Amino acid sequence: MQRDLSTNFYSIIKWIIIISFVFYAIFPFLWLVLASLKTNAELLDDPFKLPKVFQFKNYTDAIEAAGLGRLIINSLVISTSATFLNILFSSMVAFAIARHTFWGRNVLFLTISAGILVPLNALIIPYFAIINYLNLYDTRTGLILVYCAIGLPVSTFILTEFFKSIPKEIEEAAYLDGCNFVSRYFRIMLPLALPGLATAGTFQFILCWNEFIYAMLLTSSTDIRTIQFGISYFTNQFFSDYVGMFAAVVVSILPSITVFILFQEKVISGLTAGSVKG
Amino acid sequence: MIRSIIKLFSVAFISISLTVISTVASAEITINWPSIWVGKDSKATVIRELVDEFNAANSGDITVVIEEQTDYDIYGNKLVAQIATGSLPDVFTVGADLLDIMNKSGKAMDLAPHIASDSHWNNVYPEGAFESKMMGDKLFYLPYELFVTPVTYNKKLLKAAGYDEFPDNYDDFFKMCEAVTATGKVCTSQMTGKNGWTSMLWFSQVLVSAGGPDVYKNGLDDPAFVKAFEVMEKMYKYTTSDAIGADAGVSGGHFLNERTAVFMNGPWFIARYTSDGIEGLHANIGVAPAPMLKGGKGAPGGYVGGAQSSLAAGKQSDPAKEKAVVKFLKWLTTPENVARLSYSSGAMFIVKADLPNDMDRLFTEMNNGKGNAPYVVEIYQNAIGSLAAVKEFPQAMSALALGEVTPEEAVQMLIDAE
Amino acid sequence: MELKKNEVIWLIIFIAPTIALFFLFFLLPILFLFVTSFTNWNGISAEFVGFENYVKLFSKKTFIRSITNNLYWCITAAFITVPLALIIALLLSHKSRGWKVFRTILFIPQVVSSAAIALMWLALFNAEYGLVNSLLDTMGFSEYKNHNWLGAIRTANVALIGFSLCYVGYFMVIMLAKTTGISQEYYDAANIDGASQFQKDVYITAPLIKSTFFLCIILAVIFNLRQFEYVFLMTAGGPANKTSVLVVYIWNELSVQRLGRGNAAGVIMIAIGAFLLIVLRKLFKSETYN
Repeated sequence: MQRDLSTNFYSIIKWIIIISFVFYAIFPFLWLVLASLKTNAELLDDPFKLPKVFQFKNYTDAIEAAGLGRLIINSLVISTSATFLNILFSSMVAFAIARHTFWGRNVLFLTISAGILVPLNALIIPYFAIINYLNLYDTRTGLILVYCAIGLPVSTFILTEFFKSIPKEIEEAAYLDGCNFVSRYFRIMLPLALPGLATAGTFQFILCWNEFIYAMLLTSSTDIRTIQFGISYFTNQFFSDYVGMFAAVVVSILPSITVFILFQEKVISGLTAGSVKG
Repeated sequence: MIRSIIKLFSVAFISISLTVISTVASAEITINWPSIWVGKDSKATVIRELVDEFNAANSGDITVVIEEQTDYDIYGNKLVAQIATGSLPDVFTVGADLLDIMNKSGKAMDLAPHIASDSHWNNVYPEGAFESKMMGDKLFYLPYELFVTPVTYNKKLLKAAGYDEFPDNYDDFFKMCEAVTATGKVCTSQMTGKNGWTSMLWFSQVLVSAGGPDVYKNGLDDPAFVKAFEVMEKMYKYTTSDAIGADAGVSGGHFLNERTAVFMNGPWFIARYTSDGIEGLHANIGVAPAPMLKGGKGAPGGYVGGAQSSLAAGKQSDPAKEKAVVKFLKWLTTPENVARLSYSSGAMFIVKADLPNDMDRLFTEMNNGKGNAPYVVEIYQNAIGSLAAVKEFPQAMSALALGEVTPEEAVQMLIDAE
Repeated sequence: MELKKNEVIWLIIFIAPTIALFFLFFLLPILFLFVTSFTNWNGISAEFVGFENYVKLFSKKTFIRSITNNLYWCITAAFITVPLALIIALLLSHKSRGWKVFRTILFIPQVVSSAAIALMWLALFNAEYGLVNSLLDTMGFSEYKNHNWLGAIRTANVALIGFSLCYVGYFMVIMLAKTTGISQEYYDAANIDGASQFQKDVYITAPLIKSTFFLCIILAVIFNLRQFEYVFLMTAGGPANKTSVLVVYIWNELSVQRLGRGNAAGVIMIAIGAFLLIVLRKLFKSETYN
């Protein structure tokens, strides 16, 4: 009897907390959609009032004016390639560090992790020089390489911790059975660490998708440009076409959310807790 | 047998030479222009037209390619990166903040010889337009767009407060602010967000009316700066509650929604009074020079404004390409094309232009005021000569408005920014 | 695991790409930063000036304030945001109705670019028409009717750091992912013992994701040291430079072409971050596997 009460109490608190945070989180998105359906005059007057007429043409205008379709495809290509490379490289390093002892292992890990500290905004001139030197200015490859590199510290850091915390027994058994390095990586480690890979991959994708400064800095032709350029199309030095921008933002969010749902759904919930046993 | 060999040979020879000729002939010159006049910029449409027309007129020889730059800050960073590590773009525009570094970079094209050798430039530019811009005997940029920022005020709101005309001195101005506040409206739009644009314009106006047109000669030590901050401190008592931290969208928005009575911005903003303003706003707006400070060295009707963007080009090693770039620059500075730009965007240019009769009323008033003004002095941002002092201005302004510092200390903040 | 002799080559192949990219895009630029921090480089010319940049930096009030503001960001992230994220992760690990939808929604703010979120909160905090003030007014706090949250010195930092506290999505997702890997056996055993949900959360789930929790704290601290977008877009470091943070300070130095000094500030920031990273890892070392 007493336990039922405290269970219910816990339940109630739980739902209050969850609902409040969910509301807090979804509010920006709802407001974005609302604001994107107003006119600029209405928005400046009172950002939170409902518009007189829902301006759906903001969306068609935005898509046409900024060529959002092609920009989204560019962003997709660049972000997926960069994410794939990033997860591949960082999982390889994480596997090496987490599962083997070798000279310089700790130094390697700390150095790569220290990359998280670096203020990327301050590296504009070096990155510009390096990309130009490699003749990769205004190419998708250049951006992909840069994005892959930028995310390496975080991905390596996350994946190493994930790998370390997976019990070693399965691998040790395989090792004793004569399973070699590469097989251990592909056949055992990767499947076990799928939640971690999906997590790091999602973050990397979103990093690439939302990145603006280097997307503008390292490209110049519109066929290479990404969706963030499309959003900045609506602002300039002296004023912003806020509603056009918000329409573009809403359009640009949808792929990221889709990727998140796909990755998290397919991989994580597919694995029930019971399948990972010692 | 020999005949057919000769035939074969001549066919081969002719086709090879034709290929060679056509390749040589189609060695087209491409001019890259990372342009900030794209997207939602008011000049974007006409610039696009001008470039297309130029390309059509020179098809096969020269093609100008616009590379869209939608973020001005990043454009500036990129330019600095290019100066530091590479070469400047073929054609580009420079704002006042980047003129200095571009001049000293040694990577810009020297335009002086082209100006000397072609009468086009002397015909379209006013007398002495280039003298003050030269670095020794070289000229690295062409002054192009300029602007003035007189007061724009809402006649309807002023009338409701009992004022038929805009006051010409600050004592009357502040009395008017009291009256406007009494009607339930706010007097001025101000902002300290981003670069504090609106407030910085007002600051420049007070500076000039206090210290005269030569106020920037003594730099920040001139007592006019303290005076200017004193007046600004007072002005912030008559502005909206969100002024501190507001950006141009917010401060402009208040005027567009008739919440504030007095505003200040350049001619590019005129189109917005109609497109984003409240019903009938445009007809209610009047233009006036800023008030005068009693005992100041400024003269009534004095205008404040400045050079907006200038045209420049990167150094070229190929003389044919250099010629092509100069040809394009000439195209951008013909009176007809400049008039087209002015008409569609409200921008003003140093280049002489035959403006049509149906320019916007406010544009005409500003233009006339500029013509009648005893002087047009550069705004603080362009004239103070210190990027750091410009960047620190909004912080000093907000500190002053919040009572954190005195006017003297605010000026000290600008000095210490170095 | 001991490496067999012939597998060393694979080890090298596995770490080579990362090292190459890291060298190119991190080590070289940092070296560049470090070297130029001892000069007065402004984009066109550079002269060696020794430690002058560093000395000058520490004499600037705004620089010091930037560091302290960063510490506020880091501390609130570590002590408030991540624990909140832990709580939500624990609650969602029950996998009750709709948990997947909630997880997606809670993650949305991370997906929306910070520019959009900053714009929204600017509107919310606006003194004239912001929702925050209207809400407070209706609740009876009428003295806040026109309060300029981000423009008043007392409340600027609080508002700026405060609103981001509840965006727990990033860390919550990491910890939640870890909970899905917990073996059901533990819970079965607990059920047999008659444990309540609360007890299961506190005594089983939480300890098992401890290493991830500390990982998140480290990430939170480091990310907040790098905080830029929110501050830059919402207050640009104002009013009166009171909300400035390190990366904003560096950005400002770079945009007035004081590249040497800006890079020196960058070096200092990396040094502080490295120090924090080492301290935190040592602190948590006993708690994690190694």
